[in-house]
Amino acid sequence: MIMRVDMRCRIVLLLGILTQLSPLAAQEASLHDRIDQQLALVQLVPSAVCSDAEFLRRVSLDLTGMPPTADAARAFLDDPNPDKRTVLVDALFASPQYARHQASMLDLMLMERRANTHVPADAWQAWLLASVRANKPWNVLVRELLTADGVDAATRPAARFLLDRGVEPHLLTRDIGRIFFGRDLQCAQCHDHPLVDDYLQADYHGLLACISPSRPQAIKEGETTQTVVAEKAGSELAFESVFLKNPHRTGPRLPAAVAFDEPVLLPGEDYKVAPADNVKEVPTFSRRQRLAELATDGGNQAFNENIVNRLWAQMFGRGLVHPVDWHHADNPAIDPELLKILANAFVQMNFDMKAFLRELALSKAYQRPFDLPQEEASLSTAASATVGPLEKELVDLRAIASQSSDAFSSATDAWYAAEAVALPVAAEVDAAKAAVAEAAKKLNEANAALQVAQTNVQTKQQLAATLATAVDAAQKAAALLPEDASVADAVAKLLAKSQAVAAEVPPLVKAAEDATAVVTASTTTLATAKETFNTTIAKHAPLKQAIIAAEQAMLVARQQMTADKGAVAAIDRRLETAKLVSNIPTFDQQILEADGVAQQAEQQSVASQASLDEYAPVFAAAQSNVAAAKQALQQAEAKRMTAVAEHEKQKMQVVLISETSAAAKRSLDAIPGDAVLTEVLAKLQQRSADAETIVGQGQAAVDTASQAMTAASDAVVQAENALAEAATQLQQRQQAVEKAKADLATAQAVANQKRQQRSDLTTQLNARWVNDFTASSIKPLTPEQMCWSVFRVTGVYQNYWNAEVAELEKTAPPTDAQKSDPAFQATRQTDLEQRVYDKLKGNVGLFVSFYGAAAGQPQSDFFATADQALFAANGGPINSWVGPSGDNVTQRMIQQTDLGLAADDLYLGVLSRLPSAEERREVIDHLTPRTEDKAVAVKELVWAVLNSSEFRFNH
Amino acid sequence: MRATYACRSAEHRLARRQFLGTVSVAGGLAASGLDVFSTTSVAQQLQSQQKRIVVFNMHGGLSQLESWDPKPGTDTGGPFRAIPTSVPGIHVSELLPQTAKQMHHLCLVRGVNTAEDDHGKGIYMMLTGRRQTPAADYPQIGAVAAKTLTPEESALPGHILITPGGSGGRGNDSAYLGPKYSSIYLGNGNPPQNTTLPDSITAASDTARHEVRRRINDRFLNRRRTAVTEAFTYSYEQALQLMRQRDVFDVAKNLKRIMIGTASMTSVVIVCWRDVCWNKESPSFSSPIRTTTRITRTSTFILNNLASSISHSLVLLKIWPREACWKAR
Repeated sequence: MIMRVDMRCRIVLLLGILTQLSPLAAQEASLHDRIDQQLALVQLVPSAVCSDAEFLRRVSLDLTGMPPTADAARAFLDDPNPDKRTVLVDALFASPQYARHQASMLDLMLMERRANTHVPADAWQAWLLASVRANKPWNVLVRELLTADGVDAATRPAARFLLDRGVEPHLLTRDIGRIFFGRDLQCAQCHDHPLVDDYLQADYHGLLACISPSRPQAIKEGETTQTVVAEKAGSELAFESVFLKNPHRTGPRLPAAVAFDEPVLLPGEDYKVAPADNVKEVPTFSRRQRLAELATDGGNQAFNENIVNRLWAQMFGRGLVHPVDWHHADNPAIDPELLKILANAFVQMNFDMKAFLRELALSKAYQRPFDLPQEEASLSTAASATVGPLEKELVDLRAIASQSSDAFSSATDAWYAAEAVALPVAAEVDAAKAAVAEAAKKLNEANAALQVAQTNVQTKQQLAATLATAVDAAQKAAALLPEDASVADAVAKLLAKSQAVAAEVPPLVKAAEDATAVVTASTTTLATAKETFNTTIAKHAPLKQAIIAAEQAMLVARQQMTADKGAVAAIDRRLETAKLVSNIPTFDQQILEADGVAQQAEQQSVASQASLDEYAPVFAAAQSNVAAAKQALQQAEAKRMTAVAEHEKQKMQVVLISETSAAAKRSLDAIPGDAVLTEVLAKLQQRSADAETIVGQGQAAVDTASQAMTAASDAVVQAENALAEAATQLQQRQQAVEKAKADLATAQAVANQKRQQRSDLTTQLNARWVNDFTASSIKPLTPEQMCWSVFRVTGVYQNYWNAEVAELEKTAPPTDAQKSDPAFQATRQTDLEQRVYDKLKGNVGLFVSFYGAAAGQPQSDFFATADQALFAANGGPINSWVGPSGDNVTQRMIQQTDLGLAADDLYLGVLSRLPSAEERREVIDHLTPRTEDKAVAVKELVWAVLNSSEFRFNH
Repeated sequence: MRATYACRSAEHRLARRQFLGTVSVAGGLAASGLDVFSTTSVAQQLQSQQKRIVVFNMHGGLSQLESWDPKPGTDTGGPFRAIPTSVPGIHVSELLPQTAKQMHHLCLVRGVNTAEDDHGKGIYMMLTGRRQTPAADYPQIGAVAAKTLTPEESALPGHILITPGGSGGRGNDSAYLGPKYSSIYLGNGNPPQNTTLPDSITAASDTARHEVRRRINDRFLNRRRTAVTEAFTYSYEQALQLMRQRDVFDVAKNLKRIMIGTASMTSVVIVCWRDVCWNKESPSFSSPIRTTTRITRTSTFILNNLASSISHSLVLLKIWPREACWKAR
């Protein structure tokens, strides 16, 4: 409710501003429109805008670090106001969670989870929070970070940037280069960067010279010791490449700028507070102070481009220059012109981060859909038309870039040459400076000696005077007592002593005079030394001017090279995209063709299989023919065997009968005319004749059987021949099937390969759509965002909020006047946010321990490990938070009897969108059978959505 | 004038790849120290062989004179004698009698020499191979091994650090390789944290919620497939696998495995750590006799129990500033 009121106020306010500014607005397009105009030139695909739900979750996470409540999501989605996105953005900026979230993002950027050694986390975060709440401009914030010395309690938190890096010069050089200038110069410490042409060793040492005089100093005050940032007077840094061994010197320089103009200071003039025990020295000229001023005055392009690129990356998930600490000629911005526009606009906005982020949030570029653009054919036609002209343009641009690269190289050599000429003179300056220091030291010594000598004279003279007075007095006393020998003796002794002492004075006077002479001589020497110093400085000055001029020329050449290479990269990128896109129809055609071939092969395969199948019964018949013929043959053989056996028996009978007949004849011969024998013989002969007949018949039977067998055997041979022929035919058809199958496999492999290539193309294009901001990036939630998002969607945040509201209503009830006072309401919201934060902040560390990158490493790289998943699945906290509590989504779903509405609540509450029909069905199907343990089933659903990729990422 | 650095030259690059035994087409990858391992063929080859490295980091407390590099008869040599080993010509301290018998499996490095006299910096050097510098951090050997040797689909973490005490968590030792390769602490050799289902969740409920989660993810991945979403969804499957393999860390089961000869490297190392070597107290500043007894017991235990799986393993026994490594049998 309070937010609503606030929103309305904002709209009125906004309208007021718009009417006031309308003439100006008409003249110059807003920054978010200029962003879209500029990106439209770069992008190949016309831009689309994401859905309300997508925008709501994205912008809420990006500006407040947590998604909206289910109610707020529903209200936004139902709001018919066409300008509701702008209203939402302004409401989010006005909410107290904006400052909290932005402070956390700055913390990650500035400290990268380094340990709190000198400044406690609470103090640091409170300082950052206060800075964001006050909308402190970025340049002011950085100036405070770089110049704070940690002495004053009020500004000590700002000194954390330096102190918790141990004020280590190399570490600071690296991190200042990365974080404030977008240049990781680490690899240029010992030589020019091996891979990046425009990261010179001189750049590293120039920046190092800004910071190397600073040091941590422990100052004891009573019982406590506090480490502060002290700074010595700086001198030029000498360095040489470990490879080339060429001597160089540099004074302090900022990236992309010439060396500072440092005042020439003589020894003794270089400290405001000279170094001493337990005293923080203060140099007359603070390089760190100067670094801070020069970096933040709006004139350093590297500084300006770095921060707009980092803020862009915060919102878009990826910088225009990516990675964000890798600005150099060979890694230009996706659109260098846009980066320039943003940097200049940010300076004009007076480094106002909130106003700048607002412009980013309102741009269409920020509102790109998560779904990737469709790869339409019309796109390809348009793209292929651009390939030729772009290729031609690229050739020309490459030639130009190559020239400017050479020009940079020779400008660098010229700069080094100018430096080499000056080196001996610089050495003379060093010597002259050392001589001045030596002479000054001598003079000091001489002065001290003179003082001692003069003191000696004085002391002695005083003693002599005292003694003279004593002698005088004694002599007067002796005059009164002339007879007293002891008095006379004493006077004599006193007199002697007085005279002796008086005699000692002149040598001392002489010594003092000598000392004076030494002082005079030393003064002259010092004056001469100073004169020599001035002379050498004068001699060095033009050489130094020449170096500066050469350096300036080098910078110009470097800028030119960066611009030219950037132009090449831009065209190259567009050309590559155009080529990829124009390849789409070719690939699609090839897939179509391959699919056609595969289809034919498949048909062939089917046909050949059918032909094979068709032939199977023929082959089977031939097989059974052979079997039948073989069986017939067997039978014929058996028959013949039987006939032969019978025939043999018959022949045997004939033999037996004829033998018996012969025996009967012999008997008859012996007993001629025996009737019986005659009869027997006759019968036997008859029988023999019968048997002969039977044998003849048997022979005929055997012959018949033999013939039948031969016929059967022929039939077998015939059948076998037929089978062999059928087998050949079958084999041919099988081979045809196998070939068709192999052809099909090949054709399918080709089609798959084409599909894979097409899919690779899509992957490449997708990366390009994301890289040139045609589609939205996918941004992993930071551990902080995860923690607060989990608290938001599980209702933990709201429960604590409600408790604090009740508490404040009781302890500090607002008056009626206050209730209608927007300023009071805003303060109350801020108080509430702080109270809830204080209660819950202990949990942030838990998420950091699992999801945070290591201290001192970039925090934006995503990683997923099993221990994170184990924490989310089995850890106590998450499982308890997804349980029913208060009026959270789990509790509401348990109580909701309409399961479709429960599904809506789940998706709105956790993912800030309504479920699709399929998703609603899934929830209903999950819950319907679970009437017995609905609470458990709801918890399963909430846990599952909370652990989905869609929740883990901002997209 | 720009320098042509030797380390970028084509000859140099080629020679190094040949040295590593890979066939590679020239050009392409930039060559910084560890990039060679990212050549797919090398990494795949190493992974397919399941190479492992065990590091026993025993910083401080034990002198080289009482271990690998005795100097008997000298003023500083101490009271112990040197004994011959299974390798003719190599003598070690008499406090390592069992290790001496295994010396033919060992490669003794006596040439390590540094100007560091600070333990912290010495450890850093031993574990990263680099001098500690303020503005740059380097990964420890375990993180490098995890990146180069662990198969992508491995359920068990690629980098395990067993610490005396402590309750688990993730180390900060992988520098620019990213937290994915940081060590998982096993305090006292106990299993990683959160590897059991809480009592409030039944197995059936766990299965049900993971199924819903997978379906939601599939729908999201259908809209756009990216490496980060794939990695995120896969981490949950990895977690489930790790839960199923949890008894890899069970000491009793590991002892049984060792007895029947099926122990994995991890089992042996955990048991070795838990029950043989350093369970009771930190090795630092105990007497040389006790420490060397542990070393000799460790070495024999490992060599005797890893008959099968040690063949692709490298065991580094680091006693700064002397170190020994056991190599593949």
